[in-house]
Parts: sequence; C-alpha cells; structure tokens
Amino acid sequence: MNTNDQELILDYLHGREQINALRLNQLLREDANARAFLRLASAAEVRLRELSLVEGMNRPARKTNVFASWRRPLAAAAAVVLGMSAVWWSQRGIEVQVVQASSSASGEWRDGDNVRLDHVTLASGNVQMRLASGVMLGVTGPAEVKLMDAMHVRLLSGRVTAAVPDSAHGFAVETSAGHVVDLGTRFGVETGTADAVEVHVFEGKVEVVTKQNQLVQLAAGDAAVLDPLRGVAAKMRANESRFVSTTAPSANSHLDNPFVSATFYRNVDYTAAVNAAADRHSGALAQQMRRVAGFPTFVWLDSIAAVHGTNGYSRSLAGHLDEALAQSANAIGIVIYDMPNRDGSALASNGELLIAENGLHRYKTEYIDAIFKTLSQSKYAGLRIVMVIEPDSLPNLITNLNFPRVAEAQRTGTYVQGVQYAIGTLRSLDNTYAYIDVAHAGWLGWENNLKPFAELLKKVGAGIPGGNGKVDGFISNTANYNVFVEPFMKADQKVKARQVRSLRGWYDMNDHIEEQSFANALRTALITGSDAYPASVGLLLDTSRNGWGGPKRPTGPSTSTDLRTFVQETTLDKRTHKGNWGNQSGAGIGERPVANPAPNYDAFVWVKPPGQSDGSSSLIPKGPENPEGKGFDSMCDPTYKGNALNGHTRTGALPNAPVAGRWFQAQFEELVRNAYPPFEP
Amino acid sequence: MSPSSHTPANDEAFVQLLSRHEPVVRAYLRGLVSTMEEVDTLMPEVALVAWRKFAELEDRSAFAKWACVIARYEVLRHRRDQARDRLVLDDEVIARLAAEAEEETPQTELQMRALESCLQKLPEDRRKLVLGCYVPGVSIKDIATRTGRSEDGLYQLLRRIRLELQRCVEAVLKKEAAI
Repeated sequence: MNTNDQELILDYLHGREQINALRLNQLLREDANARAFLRLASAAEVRLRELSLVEGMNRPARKTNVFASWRRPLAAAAAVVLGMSAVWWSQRGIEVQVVQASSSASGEWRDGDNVRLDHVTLASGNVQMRLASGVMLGVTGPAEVKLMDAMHVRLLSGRVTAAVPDSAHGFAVETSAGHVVDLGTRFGVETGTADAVEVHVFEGKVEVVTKQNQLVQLAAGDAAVLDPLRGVAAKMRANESRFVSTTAPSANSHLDNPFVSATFYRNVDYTAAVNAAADRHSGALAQQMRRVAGFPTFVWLDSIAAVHGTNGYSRSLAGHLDEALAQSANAIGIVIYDMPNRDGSALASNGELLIAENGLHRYKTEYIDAIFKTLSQSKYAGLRIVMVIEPDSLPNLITNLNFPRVAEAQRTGTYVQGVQYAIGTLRSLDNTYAYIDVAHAGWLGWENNLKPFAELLKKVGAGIPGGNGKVDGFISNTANYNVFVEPFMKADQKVKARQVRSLRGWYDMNDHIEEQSFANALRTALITGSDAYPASVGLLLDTSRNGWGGPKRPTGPSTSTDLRTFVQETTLDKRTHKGNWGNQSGAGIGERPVANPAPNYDAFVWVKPPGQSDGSSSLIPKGPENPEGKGFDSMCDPTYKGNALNGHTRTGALPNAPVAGRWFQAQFEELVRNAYPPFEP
Repeated sequence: MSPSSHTPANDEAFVQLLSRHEPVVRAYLRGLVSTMEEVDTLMPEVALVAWRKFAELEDRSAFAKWACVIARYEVLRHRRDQARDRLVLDDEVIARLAAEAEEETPQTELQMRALESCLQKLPEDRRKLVLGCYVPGVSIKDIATRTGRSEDGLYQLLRRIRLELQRCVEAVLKKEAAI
C-alpha cells in the first residue's frame, strides 16, 4: 500500500465526494494492510472526536486526563433510558483499591479490596488506596475526603498524601483555601485550624492555586500555609514525618500484558557466556553471536540452591533482581521449576524433591516461600516479574501416567497442589505474572489430550487461592522446537486424498501441526464453559530454538505427490520425530522476543537460553563436569535408537553435550547459524 | 428474555461494560460505515440490542467482541435499508473488515491510547486544528471558512496530519511491542 492508497482511505473517511470507489474496494479486498490502515484510521477518528470534546472544555492540556474526567455519553444515557437512575447514582463513587490500612483505621478496610467510594471518612488510623489513575492516596484520620474522580479529590478535613505517577500528572487536591495541582510528585496536604491549609512537597513539584487565583509553585522540600482569605500566608520547610508515607505506584498495578513497554533484564551470566562463545570465533559468526546477547532470556530457578545462589549457581535470585535494577530494566523473566517428582517422564532434568520424602512440603516452604520472600522486597516492587510455571508438570498428568513418578504425582495430587500453591503465593504480589506451561502441539495437540488437559487446567485454576484470575496466561513450546506456523501447508490439506495431519510417525492425526493453532484451541477451550478462565489470559511462545533456518529451510511447498515426501520437504521442522527434544541437530534460534506478536499472544519469549544444554549425550558421573549429579536421558544420546515416546526413531540429538543447563558451544554455534530470521552479520 | 428479567446488578454491570467498551464499538462501526453520523445513529441501537441480549453473554470479559458482532448485524441491516448507490464499500469488503476487526478489539484500545500520546507530540497549532475538525456537528467547510483556508487546502493539511499521526501510532505500538 502506498501513500496514494492511504490518502484514498482517508479521503473516504473524510466523506470526500469524488473518490474512486472501485479502486477503494479493490484495495480493501486485496490488501490486508489497507484494511488494517482503515481500522486504525477509524479508531483514530473516534478518539480524536472524543478528545475534541475534552479539549472543548477549555482546560489546560496538562491537567486533562480523559480517562478520568470524560464521561462517555452513551452509557450515561443508557442508564437514564433504561430507567436505571438509581443504578447510575450508585455508580457515582470511584473505583479504588485498598492497598494498606493500619490496624487502627476506623471502619472496615481489607487490604487488596476493590471498592467503589465517593468519600472517605476516617475517625482514626490511616488508609492507603490506589485510584484508577494510578495515584496512591494516603488518608490519615480524623479526616474527611470526597473522591470526585480518579484525578481529583476534595479534602474537607484531616491529612492526605499523594504519590502521583507520570501518567497522572495534573492530579488535584482541592481545599477550602485553594487547589494543589500535581506536576509529577509526592506531596501532603493538611487542613489546620481556622480553615488554613498546609501543603508539603516531598518530591517533584506542585502548583498551588489559591482562592485569590494566586499561582505558586512549590518544589521538593518546600511547604506553604494557605489562608482562604489571604492566600499564601507563610512558607517553610516540608515535614514529611507528619504524613503517612505513600510509595510511588509506578509498577504496582497489575497489567494485562506485562510485555508491553517492558525492558527485560539481560541475564548477566548468560550474556557473559554468549560473549565468551563469540570470542572463540571471528568475523560474521562472532558478530551474529554477540547479537544474541542483546535479547532477554529467562532465569531458571531449577532447584532450591538456584534461589540462594549456592551449590555452583553463580548468582541468587536476589542477585539477578539487583542486576535487573542496575540495568534499569523494568521486567524480568523467571522459570519456577522444582516440582516434587519433577519431569517424571525424563531423566536429564528430573528434580531434587521427591513426593515420598516430604517433597510437597519442602517445595512450598523451602522453594516457593523462599522465592516469595525475595520477590516481595519493596525494592523490587517496580519490576514486572514474569513467571513460567513448572514446565511439563501438568502435561505429564495427561499422557505419562505410565511413569511411576508421574503416577505418584497424580495419585497424591502433588503437581496440581504444587502449581496452585506456587501461583497463589507468588501472585499475591501485584507485580508478578504467572504463565502456566502447556507443553506443545506435538504433545497435547490431539483432541484426546487437549480436552482433558483443558479440564485439568480449569480444575487447577479453580483451586488457586484468589481464583483463576491469578493466571495471566499460558506458554507453549517451552525449551522445545515446534514452529509457530507451518507457512506452506495446512493440517487438513490433502496430498493425493490424504490429509497432511495423517502422516504416520510425524503428525499421526494430530489436529495441530503448529503452535499457534494448538495454543489458540487450548485457550478457547479454557475461556469457555464451566470454570472458564477470563478471556484476558494471553499466550506466550518460547521461540528460543524454533527458527529452523539455514540452507535447508524450505521456501515454498513441495511439489511431491507422495505425502511423506511432501511433508518432509515442506515442514520447517527438521527433526526425525516430534517427540525428540534433546539438543536437536539442525535447529536455529527463532523469532526475537517481542510483545503482541499475534492475536491472543502477549509475547514471543526466549525462555530456554540458546546454548544451554538439554542434557548430556552420555552419562557424566557426579564430579566437576556434573556437580549436582544430574541424570542422563538417552533422548540426548544421538546413538540411542529411540522408544515409544519418539516412535522408535533416532533422537536427532547433537553429540558430546554437557549436562542440562551447561554451556554447549557446538549447539550454540548451530543455533546461531540456523537462526530464522537470521542475525545480521 | 423479557426486559423485566433484568436485575439491578445486571444493569449496573451492563452500563459499566458499555461505558468501558463503547469507544471500541464506535471504532468498529466507524470502520464499516461511511460517516460518523451513521455511527451516532447506530450506536444507540447496538446498545439497546446488547442490553436486551445481555443475559445471553456468558463471558463478560468478551463484551467488546460480542458487542461488535451485534454491531455487525446492525450495520448489515442499516445497509439493507440504504439505497445501493449510497453504499461505498461492497459486501465482500465489509465482511472482511468486520471479521478482522472483531478479532482485534484489544488492539483498538491500544491504538486509541497511542493516538493520544502522538497527539501530544504535534505542534500546538496542528493539534488544535486536527481536534477542531472532529468536533461533532462541525464541518470541514465551516473550519475552512473560519480559518481562511480553502476547503481543498484544509483537506490536504488534515490528510497530512492524519498520516503523520497514524505513522506515529504505528511506531509507538511497534516500540511498545519490542521488548
């Protein structure tokens, strides 16, 4: 679509008369970008119109917060037309969230409650609440405050403090002696005797407009006494200790998609490993490798020691969080991965905790509680902490009950209770985000698996303290190799009367040959029916190793009429079997981490740091090369002839791999060389 | 369902949801009809149908999309009532636009938010001009007369500002999308 086309669409929207309707229709029929442009232009026009109404109210732009102050006319009209004036009246208060109430606060306040209030009357104690504008308002009793809207309160008596995030500049406290208008700050206002009012600025600046229309700016450390008759009667030093402290609420409110406008932590240890790997090369490959270090990966908390940074881990969780703050990041990804009887169907990554040895109790108290203790420190409150919850654990309950450790987890309810406890505990913080692992299309794509899995997830969700709304979404393909989409074929496409999905030993009648359709089908099942999750749940895809680029990547569909040849020549995935997962030969790094990549997707992420081994190619005894005594899984052995889980094929694993999590130089090289999209040299 | 089965709690929920999602539904309508006036005509009808059918909505978090589907039927009905020669876009285009827009309701909200920050970046005079052109009931012709411009010249200018804004929105959303 060129500029002429864009202008044609705008002319149409502007109602210009002589437009080429034929061309317009053709354009919109054939070009999805043109349709997207029209949609954006329509949304823009609706918004511009709303804003033109606000502008018409003749207020300085700085003080305008349309979300707070603009009453959308139709809903109000609806309330009246529908004979709901009483309802509308009861809506007059504003939505606030109680953040903290002192035990001495009079009245009924429960931390975390969302309530609708039009005034706060407090005989004693203090209450901190968050307004919809993001302003943190502290009220100290005895006090009476009217909440006009999310950007405007009226202090009748007592003391208030306000911490105002950037998005709510212009927030105003009205008093009998004048207005205090925030210019980006924390401040306190107190009514005194004889209607005099004191304004104290702790941070930033405020503008005071007295009853006499005097305009005074006060900066951090300043305080002033306002007299309703005389205006600014005195200036002095601010005294913060008299006010209840409110903290800047910047990252405190829970976001629908934490990846939007996020700067994620670059794991310093991973970056160092990547740069060291690049140092072993020169030229284009070295350059490409260094680019990998520029993207965020997740920190795997795969044992209790990983939380504390002991037993060979170079850094504790707190250490990573501190580094994130030092990088001025506002987000970090972590993997919660220490379930008792973990990975009961595999050996390379099986865990330290056993159900039979009090594992669930230890998981809760020594692992999850320890993580919570770290995350809940106030210095980390500004970080969005995105958590991948227990890869493979719940999926194992669907297909791998023939493994004794999984069967035990099923019998005792351990995986379910473990996930519920992990989310219930960690998501009690507002700045954490939980994404439950849902395996991948090649594992749970068949309806026989997908349906019971959705039921299981609903059951898990319903039992989470705080409800399934604590789940922010689901992640598929964690540490796996499946593609987001197969661009050159469809599951039900026929080759000589046989569907692509019917290919034996590869899709085996799977309904989903790609992650996008699998994850969306699962999500749809999860947000409908009983115990449905909220439709706000988003999807993540681990693209760290699903690139499948390099010279062998197909550029179009095969012309073969033999189904097997067609699929083998058309699929991007060059594995020998979908059940293969260990250090796969031929794989490449996939799409770079990005927010909102597709409908229903919150982000593409790199959960598995590319270059970290999935497991050793042969048994490595406990020792310097295997300090934790990790197991050996023959699925990482290229000479192994396979089992029922991979259709008795070769494993496709790269040789000479170190134990799980260790740096695997040869694999990293291949992942970079085969990256798709390729890295610029 | 008869209106009498509405409960105050449901009515309240409805008004809340409608007030939250009305801009998205309006944007959806705007993408399917030729003028903003038609949006103003159709929106109350959409709201009324949505209110009548509200009890059928199982998943309230899907309100926006649900209301858009209702809006689609209102648009189709409205198109049937109109003389064919007044319809600019053909049925096939409308079907595609509608189907895609229904999937993109969350994106619409983001676009609207981004637009606002882009608008703040415009020089004051351009911002005022573009906002002035969208005040309900004010025609481009009026503004051209009032500001001493030719109608054509004003269209040209408005087009340029709109393109600038649209590019800014795309850039903001792209930037937001990049982690």
